[in-house]
Amino acid sequence: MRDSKPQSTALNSALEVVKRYQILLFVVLLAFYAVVVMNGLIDGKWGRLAGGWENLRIFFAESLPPDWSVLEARSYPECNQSIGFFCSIAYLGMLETIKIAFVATIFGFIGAILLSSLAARNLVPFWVSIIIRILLSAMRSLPSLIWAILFVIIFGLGPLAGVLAMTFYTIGYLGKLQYEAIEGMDSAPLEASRATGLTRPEILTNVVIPETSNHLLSQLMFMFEYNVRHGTVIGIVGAGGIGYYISNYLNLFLYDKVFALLLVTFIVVVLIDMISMAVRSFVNEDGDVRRPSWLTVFFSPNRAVRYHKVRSDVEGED
Amino acid sequence: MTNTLLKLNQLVVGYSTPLVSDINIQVHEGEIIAIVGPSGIGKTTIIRTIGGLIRPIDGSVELLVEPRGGLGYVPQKLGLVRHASVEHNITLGAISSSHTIQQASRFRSIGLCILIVSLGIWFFKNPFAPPLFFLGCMLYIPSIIATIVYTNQLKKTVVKQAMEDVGLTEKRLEPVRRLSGGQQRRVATARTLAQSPSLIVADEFLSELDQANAMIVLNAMRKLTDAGSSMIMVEHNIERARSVADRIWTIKDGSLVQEVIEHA
Repeated sequence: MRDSKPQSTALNSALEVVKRYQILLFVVLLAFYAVVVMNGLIDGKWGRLAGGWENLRIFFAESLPPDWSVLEARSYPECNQSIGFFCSIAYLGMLETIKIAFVATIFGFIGAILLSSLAARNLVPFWVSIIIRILLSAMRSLPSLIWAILFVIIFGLGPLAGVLAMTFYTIGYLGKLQYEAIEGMDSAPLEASRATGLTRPEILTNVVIPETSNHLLSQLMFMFEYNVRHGTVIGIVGAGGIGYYISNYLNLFLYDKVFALLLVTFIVVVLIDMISMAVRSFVNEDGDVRRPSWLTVFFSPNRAVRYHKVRSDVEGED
Repeated sequence: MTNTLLKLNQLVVGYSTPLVSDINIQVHEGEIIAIVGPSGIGKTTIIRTIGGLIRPIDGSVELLVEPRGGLGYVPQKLGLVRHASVEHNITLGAISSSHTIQQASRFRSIGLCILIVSLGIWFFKNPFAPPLFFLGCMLYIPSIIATIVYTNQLKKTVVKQAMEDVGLTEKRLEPVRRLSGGQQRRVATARTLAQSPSLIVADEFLSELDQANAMIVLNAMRKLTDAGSSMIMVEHNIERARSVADRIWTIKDGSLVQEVIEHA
């Protein structure tokens, strides 16, 4: 019994150390477990990692420099534009991708508004919202790539399948974002209008949509940007857009052209991302800033406020 | 004998456990009633039960006003659409008491249902789809046009008058979130004025107001009560309640105690 006391203090101090570093220990354990699972997945053949470098070197040797002929007019069908670029594969493919994303975003937004207003628990009875939520999550459970495969089987190759696939996914994804935005809104306007006897459609159009419009618009822009990014992917299964050409060149092992198209996609997506960010800064909650000049569109709300303050101070002195 | 607008019979209110029980009250036309008591005692719960937002635990609420537009409800947080303009918010009150817009809204909903059904059966190549689609359009589109036209008419008459009454005509197109607290309360008052309900239920609607704003709000509400509307207000300031109300209810030990005030 006498010996047990120092033993227990040693145990206690060990426990203390474990307690202090418990988060670190947990992360290390998780990482170790991930390595074990990975080992099982690849049957312990870690040597393939080393072999990859050679393949990477070959890929870059074949694809660099990129073949910028994708930016020139294609030979068939005949180009009747004065500038050859407007007949190029990169331009036509990217334009089709953007068009698919645009149409799908608009249709999906309309569908999502209707469904999300039926899925928000503060607007409809519990059982209705559960049914609609299951529908929305079913639409979301398949990525747009799988929807695209399905619609290519039903409607054949081309942009129609792409538009439908993206519209479905947009409804599922945007619907979830929107019903969360609607549920997050203040309950007082809803209560006031419900007690006065307004009908549900009237509450939706007159109270809910104006009150959540900032969120809805910001989500609409985000979804457009997301759809442009995914438009390149769904083209690979033949649903139109630049991805269609990318997958064609991949099958022909023309890696230099693929690389050029990938760079074009990258630049366009980054540009759309930046524009979308700028537009969204108009409509977010703290971005309630008047921007009288186009110069400040690309500023953050805070900087825009400061800029206009400085300007108005200077003008005031004149 | 004046008309009774509201009867509370053996009412027990609360969320899961009873907060206030055994409420037996009748509210007549033109009365102003104040519910007074410290916070957390169940004043707002009574108001919310009268507004039909929570179910009574026991007993019944008999509202003898029109189901649509007959009850004006001003919650403590005012319930304004913050991102919409002052005019939009006041118009909300006006359309809730308009029978024309109610009819149009009903036709619009029926039209929309028919449209959806017709599109659904169109998918299965049903021969009834085109005529149904046409019928849906004939109900939907005119009712939308009627709603817009009539709403604009309301904006020119009732809404404009209500805005003048509370002195917010210059701020017509300003979003409500940019207004000060007192101005927002004036917007909520104007919304109730445009609605002109027979029974107004207002939660703490005079609190946090300076004297000038309180006078504007009170005068606007008086205009309604003089025209025959009744009002139930929650108030924590008993002095102010005495100066405004005809009857005062106080909550003591989970039941209502009534106090009648004789105005000089």
